[in-house]
Amino acid sequence: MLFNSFEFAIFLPIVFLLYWFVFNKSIKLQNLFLLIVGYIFYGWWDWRFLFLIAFSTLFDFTIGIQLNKTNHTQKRKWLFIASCIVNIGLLGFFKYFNFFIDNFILAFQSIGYQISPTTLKIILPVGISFYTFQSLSYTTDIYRKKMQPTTNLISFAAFISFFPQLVAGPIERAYHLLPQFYNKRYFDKELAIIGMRQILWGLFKKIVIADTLSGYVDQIFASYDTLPGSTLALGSIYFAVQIYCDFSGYSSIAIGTAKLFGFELMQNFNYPYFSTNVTQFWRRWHISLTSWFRDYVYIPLGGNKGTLSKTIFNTLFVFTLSGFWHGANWTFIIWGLLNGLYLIPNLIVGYNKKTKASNENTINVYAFINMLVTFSLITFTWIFFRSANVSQAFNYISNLFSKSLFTYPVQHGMAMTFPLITILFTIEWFRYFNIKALQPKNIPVFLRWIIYLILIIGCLAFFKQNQSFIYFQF
Amino acid sequence: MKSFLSKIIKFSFLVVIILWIGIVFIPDKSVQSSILGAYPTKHEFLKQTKTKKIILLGGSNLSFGINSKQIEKVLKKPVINMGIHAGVGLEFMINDIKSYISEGDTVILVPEYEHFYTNNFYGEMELISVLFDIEPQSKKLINREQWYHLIQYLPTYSAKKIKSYIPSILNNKEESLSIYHKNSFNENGDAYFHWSLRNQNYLPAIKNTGNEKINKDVIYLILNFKHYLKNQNATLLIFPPVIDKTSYNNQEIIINKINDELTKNHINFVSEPIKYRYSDTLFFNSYYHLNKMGVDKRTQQLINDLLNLKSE
Repeated sequence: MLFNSFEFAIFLPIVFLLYWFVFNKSIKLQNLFLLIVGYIFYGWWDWRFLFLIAFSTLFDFTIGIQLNKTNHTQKRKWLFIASCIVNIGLLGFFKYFNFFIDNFILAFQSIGYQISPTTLKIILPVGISFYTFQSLSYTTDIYRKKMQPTTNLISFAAFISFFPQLVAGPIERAYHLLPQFYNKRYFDKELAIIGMRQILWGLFKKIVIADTLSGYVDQIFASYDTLPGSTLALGSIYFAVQIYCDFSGYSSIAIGTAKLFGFELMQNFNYPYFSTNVTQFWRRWHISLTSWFRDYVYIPLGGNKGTLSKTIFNTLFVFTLSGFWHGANWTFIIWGLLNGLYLIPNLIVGYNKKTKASNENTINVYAFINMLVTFSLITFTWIFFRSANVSQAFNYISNLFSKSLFTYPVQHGMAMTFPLITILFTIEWFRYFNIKALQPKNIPVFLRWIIYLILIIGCLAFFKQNQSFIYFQF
Repeated sequence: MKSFLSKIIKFSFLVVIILWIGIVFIPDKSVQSSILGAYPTKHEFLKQTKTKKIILLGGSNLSFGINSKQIEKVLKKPVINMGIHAGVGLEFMINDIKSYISEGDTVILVPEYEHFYTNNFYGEMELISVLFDIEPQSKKLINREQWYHLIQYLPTYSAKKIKSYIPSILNNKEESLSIYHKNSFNENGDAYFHWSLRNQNYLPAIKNTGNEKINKDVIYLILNFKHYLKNQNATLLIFPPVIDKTSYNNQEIIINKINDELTKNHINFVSEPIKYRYSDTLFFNSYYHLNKMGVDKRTQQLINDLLNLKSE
C-alpha cells in the first residue's frame, strides 16, 4: 500500500480510530493490533512475502533469547554469525543472486569460457533491505550486550513490521524503537498535530514536487543521446531534487504517521542540500542508513582510529557497500565509491574532528558557495544512481560536458518546475534557520488553515495514480 | 483526543465543501477546449449519418492514428472516427454510441491494451471531465461499478479545476489551435493537426511484470456489445491497436494473454496484434499516436484487412 494512494487515505483513519478507541484497553492489544495492521499493509503488495518477514522475525527473536541465555563466548559468536548468515543470506538471495550469476558468467566469458546462464526469476520483496537491517541491528546489539532481548514475541514482531517505516525506513535501532512497544501509549494531541503537519508536508514534497519532476527526469534520461548538454544538466538537477523530495517526503510521512500512534522515529533527513561539504551532507542524508553503516560496519572495521590510509580504506569500503545495498547494479557501486572518494580530502584535513562541536548552521557568502559546490558534486553522483547501466551513465556524462552545455535547454518544463523548486528551497531555508515568525505556533490559526488548504489542494491537483517511491525498489 | 478529532472533522468538512464547489461551480475552460470537448461534435456526426456507416471506436490510438476519409473513399461508406481518449474507458465508449447504431452499421472497435488489465476500462479523470464539463447528460450511462472506480478521481479533478481557475480568469484568452484542441479534428473525427509536425520524444510502454491479470468484465462487455449489435443487424469487428515496436516488445506477455483470452471467447481480433506493431519512427508523441506516415500505413492496412474480410 502506497502512502500516496486512495487506499492509504482510507486505511490510516480506520486504523487510527480502531487503535485509540477499540484496542486501547491494554498494551498487548495495541501491539497485537499494530502487528496485524503491519502485515495487512505489507501483504497489500504481495502476501507471499509475509512468510519471509515472519521467518526473519521468529529467527532473530530466538537468536536474541539464546544470546542472552549463554555467556559462552564461542557459542554467542556462532549464534551471532547464524543471524548474520540468515539475514544477509536472505537479502543476498532475493536481491543479489542474479547479479552475481550474471557477473560470474561475464567474467568467464572474458577469459574465453562459455557457460550457460541459469538465472532465476526472483522477485525482490519490497523493503527487504530495510527490515533485514533493522532486525540485524537487534541481534548485533544483544551480541554486543548493548541491550537486553525481548521475551515478548508480539512486541518484537510489531517492532519489525511497524507499518509506517516497514518498507523504506527510517531503519530504526532496536534500542530506540523496541522499548516504545513495552509502554502503554497515551494519545498526545500536540504530537499528533506535529505528525499531521509532517504527513502533509511529506505528501506535498512527494506528490507535487517529486512526481512532477519525475516526468521530466524520465524523459531526459530516456533520450539523453539526442538532447543537448544543458538539458542533461537540468535533468540531473531535477533528479537530485526529485530523489530528495521522494525519499524525504516518504520519511516525513512515516515519522508523522508513527506520531499519530504515539511513537517517535529517528530523523532521516536534516536539510542535506544546505550542506557545505560532502561529509556534512552524509551526516544529513538518509541518516538512519548512514549511521547504521557507521555503527555496524565502519566502527567495527576500526573507523578513524588507525592510520590515515586505514581510515580512507574503511571509508571507501563502507561507501561502496552502501552503494551496493541500494541495488544489484554497478551503477550503485560506482555511486557509493564516488561519494567515498569525495570524503578523502576531508579525511586528510581532519574535518570530522574539527567540526564536531561547531555550529554548522551559519551562513555567509563562503558557506553559500560551498553549498553550491557540494550540491553540484552530489548531483553529479546521482547520474550514476539514476542511469540504467554504467555505459548509459558515462554516455550521459560525456553528452552533458559537450559544447551544447552552453545552449538553451529543450523540453525542460522550467515554467512548471522552477517555481516548485523555489517554493521547496525557500520553505526549507526558513525552517533550516528556524525563523520564529514562521513557526506554526506563531502563525494565526486562520492563516495556518489556509496554508494547509493550499497544500492539500496542491497535493490533490498534482496527484497521479500509482506513483511509487524510488526507495521501494531497494 | 476529542478536540483533535473535532479539529480534524471541521477541517475535513471544509476541504469537502471546497472540493464540492470545485466540482459543481467552477467551469473548466481548458477541458472544454481540449480534445474531450470534441464529443458533442462527434455525436452530431453520428446523428446526421443515418445510412450504413462505419464507426471507429477506441481511444487516442484511433483519433491520432487513422485517415477516415481514405477509408470512406475506398469502401464507399461514411466513416466516423469516435476515438478521442482511452481515459474515458472502454465501457463508456461502448455505451455512449449504442443509441446511434442503426441497421447495417459496422463498428470497428480498437481497444487499447491497457483497457484489458487496468482500471482504465472503467474510465479515469477524462471521463469525469466529460461527465461534468462536456456532456452532463451522459451521467445516465454510468453504472454503479463505474462510479465506484471514478469516485477516487473526484478530489483530484476538483483540485485541478481550482488550481487552473485563477490563471484562467487572469488570462481570459481562447485557447489557440493545437494538437489537443477540440478543433484539431476533421469532419470525420480524425485528429489531423499533428500530421504536418515533426516527431516528439516520448517514453515507450513500461515492461510487463508478468503478473498482470485480464479483467473479465472487459470480455463480458465486448460479448454483450456483440450481441447487441447482432440484434440491431449491425456488425462488430475488433482490431488490435497500433503500437511501436519497443512498447510491443515490453508488453508482449500481456498482449499474447489478451489475444488468447479473446480467441477463447470467440471474439478474435481481425488481424494478429503483431501485424500492427510498427517501427518506432512512425510514432508522433506517444507509443499509440502515429505520425502522418504511420497514419497512412495503418489506414492502408486496415482497408486491406477489411477488403480481405469482405472477400472471405
